[in-house]
Amino acid sequence: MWLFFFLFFLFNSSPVKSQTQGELFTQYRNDYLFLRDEYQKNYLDFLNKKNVYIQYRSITSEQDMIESTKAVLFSRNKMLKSFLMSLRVGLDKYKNSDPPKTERYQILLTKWEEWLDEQNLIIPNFTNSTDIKDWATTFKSRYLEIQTAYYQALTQAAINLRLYNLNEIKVLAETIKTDPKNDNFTENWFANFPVNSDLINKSLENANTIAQKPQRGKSFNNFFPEVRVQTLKADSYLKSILSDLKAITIKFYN
Amino acid sequence: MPETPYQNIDISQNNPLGFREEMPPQPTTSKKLSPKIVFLIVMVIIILLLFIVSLIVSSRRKNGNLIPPTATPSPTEIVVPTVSKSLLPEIYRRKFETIENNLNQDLEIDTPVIDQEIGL
Repeated sequence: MWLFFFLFFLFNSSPVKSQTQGELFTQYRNDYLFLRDEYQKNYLDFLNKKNVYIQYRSITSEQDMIESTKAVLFSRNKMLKSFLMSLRVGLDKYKNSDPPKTERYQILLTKWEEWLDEQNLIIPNFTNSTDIKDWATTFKSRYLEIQTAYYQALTQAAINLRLYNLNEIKVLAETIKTDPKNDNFTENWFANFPVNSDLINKSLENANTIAQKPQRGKSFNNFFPEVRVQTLKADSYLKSILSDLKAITIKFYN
Repeated sequence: MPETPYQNIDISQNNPLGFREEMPPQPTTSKKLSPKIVFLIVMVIIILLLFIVSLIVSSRRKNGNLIPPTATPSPTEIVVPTVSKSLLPEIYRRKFETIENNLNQDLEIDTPVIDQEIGL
């Protein structure tokens, strides 16, 4: 009897399905969205408490404001950490397009996740407005670096996706090239491919250069719209070579 | 002085000249119907008309029911090929579609918007 059960479980048990990269990213993103809502609720509460303190200037209202400030700062750090985590996991999808650079950004994001965790150990110990003010000043300068890091990571994710698509188009073209019906129809396409490939790579290099520009001044200069211009340019080249390949395939099959 | 015969123009029978004047026939005055009766008659006519129309309609419906119902076409499992969606050969179609769908699949995540002045 026991032997029967043993054999049944041995041969009938299905392996535990591991989460795919896409599922993991979706899960982390949902966590981030939930924590973002939490932060917004705490932020509204903080604004109310702050207004009450400004109106009455009482000790009780000041204490309430300090507590609500601590709560909103705590939830803000949690939200930022979850955002960085989801971004780091999202980078895994096309990591193979450029593993060293992607890895570098993932390490950078992890570093900031840890820093935010550390800050959440400090925040509950604040007892007065001066402690909070000192910490908020430090955070503001550090957030400039955090913003730069996550926009650079987003740029790398966009570059990786385009490089992956370029490679997929090339692989498909190689398959079509060996098709028995193809009587050198793809010859011109392959002749033009290096030029088109260079144009795509150039746009992606430009995007990377824009993202690497050092930040000047105390406020963050968002470079991502400029990056978008370059990635959209790369997209148009990719669409062009793909539609050319499609037209050639239709031609020799009809 | 000669005697002028007197003629009563109002009463023809008393005409002393001896001839009879033909009296125009008196127009027969019809009795005017009261508005209530007119209304009733109109109503009766309308009711009759409606009755006739309803009879016609109901008879037509009955005739329609007698026609045996024709089988309505229903979708079958056999798909009749019309015009192909794409001129691409089947073996490459899916691959092309995958790449096309993947072209704009950037990471779908909103960057956080925070108030950096909290606590300052």
